[in-house]
Amino acid sequence: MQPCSREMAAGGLNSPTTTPPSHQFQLHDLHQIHGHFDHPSSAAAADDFLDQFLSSAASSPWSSSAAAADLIKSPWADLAADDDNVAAGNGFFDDPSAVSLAAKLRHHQINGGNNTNGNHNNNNNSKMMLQQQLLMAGDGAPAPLFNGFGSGSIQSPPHFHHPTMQPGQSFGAGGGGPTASPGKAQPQASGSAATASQGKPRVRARRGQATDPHSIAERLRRERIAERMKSLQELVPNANKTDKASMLDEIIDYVKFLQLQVKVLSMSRLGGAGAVAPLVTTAATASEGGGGGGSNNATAAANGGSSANESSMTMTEHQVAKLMEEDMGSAMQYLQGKGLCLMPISLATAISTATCRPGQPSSPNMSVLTGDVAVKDSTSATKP
Amino acid sequence: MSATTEQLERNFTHRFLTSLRRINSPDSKTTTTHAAGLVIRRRSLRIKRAAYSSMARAAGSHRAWTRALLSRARSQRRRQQHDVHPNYIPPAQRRKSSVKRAAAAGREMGRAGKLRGLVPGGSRMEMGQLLEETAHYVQCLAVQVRVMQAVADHFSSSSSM
Repeated sequence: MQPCSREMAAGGLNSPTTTPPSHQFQLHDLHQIHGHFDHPSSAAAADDFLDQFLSSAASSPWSSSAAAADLIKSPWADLAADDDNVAAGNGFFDDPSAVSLAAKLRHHQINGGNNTNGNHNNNNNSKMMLQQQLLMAGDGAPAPLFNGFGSGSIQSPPHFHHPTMQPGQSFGAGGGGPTASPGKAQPQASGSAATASQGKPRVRARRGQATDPHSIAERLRRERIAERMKSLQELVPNANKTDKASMLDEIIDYVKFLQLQVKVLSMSRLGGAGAVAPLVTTAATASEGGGGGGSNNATAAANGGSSANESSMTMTEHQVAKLMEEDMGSAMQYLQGKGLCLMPISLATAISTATCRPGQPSSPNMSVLTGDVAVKDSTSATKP
Repeated sequence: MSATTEQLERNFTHRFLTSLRRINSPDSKTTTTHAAGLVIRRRSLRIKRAAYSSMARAAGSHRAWTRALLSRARSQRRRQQHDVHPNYIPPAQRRKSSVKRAAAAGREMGRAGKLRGLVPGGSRMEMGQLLEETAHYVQCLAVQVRVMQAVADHFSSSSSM
């Protein structure tokens, strides 16, 4: 009986000077508690509070649904606006029609629910009954309350400040602006949960039923996007992601990868570079029919036919030397076309001694040129 | 869609090889007095631009991204012919449209903004159209890479050491 204990503690604080015997104190405080129940104030007690209230309440005919709706709406409005338990509590329990409600609840409590945790579940059941009562009233106004009831799982209140606090909090979480809409409780709950996860449309869509053109348009848009994503999934490799965000990440990475490949391939475009030099040096290139491939073939024929494998380096070397006399750029292009590069001899020595392994056929030959026109490649590093 | 893909591939290959020939054949551009490394870099940039332009033309102008890419290439070329140094970007252009569009694309929620930056003309589209254009763009990019790889292989094998 924790609320009672709290009341007793308050009573104790209120009369510090007097030191009555403990049992008298308890009696006095119990009277105080009863007084509280008769004139509901900002009492902290929830469950016992409600029980006491119900037992002492005078039965009266069930008030009109509109009044009930107003009754219910005001504490919800207060709860939505502010976290003030006290004000809402006062508003709820001071209303005389609350008495009639309480009576009905009491009546249904007998029929309802499991009693594992008597007070708490009675409280919960009372709320479910309340919901059904208002449901039978069939008004549009209390509809938003249903959403909160249905969507939030009402658990046992951790604190006993106010019985309506917990569902109020779930209301605050689950509901947007209250909109008038006829309703069934259960599908509405699932629909509201679905729309809450979708985004922030102001209307809660029913299952298979949309009242707002905005929500229809938005759903169409989302379906379009979903099917586009599916078609993208087939194009992009590693498309086993079910999450939309990770799928987008995958798409972005794939596009970046393809663009990088284009960039690299354009840098390694060797054909034309080889064509530049022979046009300048070799006579055979004069007969070329034009086109990168054709000129390259002529180059290959000219070089391959005239030089053995060992002297290919010398041939290249002479070509480069000739090109360097007129234009450094074309010389570098020629080298690039061959897959060769210029580097200082010291660096070439360092690299070749570090990585020299006999029988590395795939590594490109390294061509080194200095002012003395010395050509060296990786295989020749073994020679002293 | 393999028939259209093959047609696209053939179209692109034809255009690309034609532009490669134009780049490779000696013209006034190659004998300008620039640093050797810059010559090579400029050439690779020309090849890259030629690849994208020929792909955009091959894909057809009924796609938004091809139109955006071609208009971007056209303005780039006009600017390049006007200025001496191709790496020089006029401050007016850098301040006005590209920064604003990039900022607008970046302000959008993370991933979608990144995608808009990657796909040409993506900052002007909304989400559904963006995804559709991305699908076609990815298809064309795959064809482009395949063809370019084949050409590079052919050239590197024929000019073997």
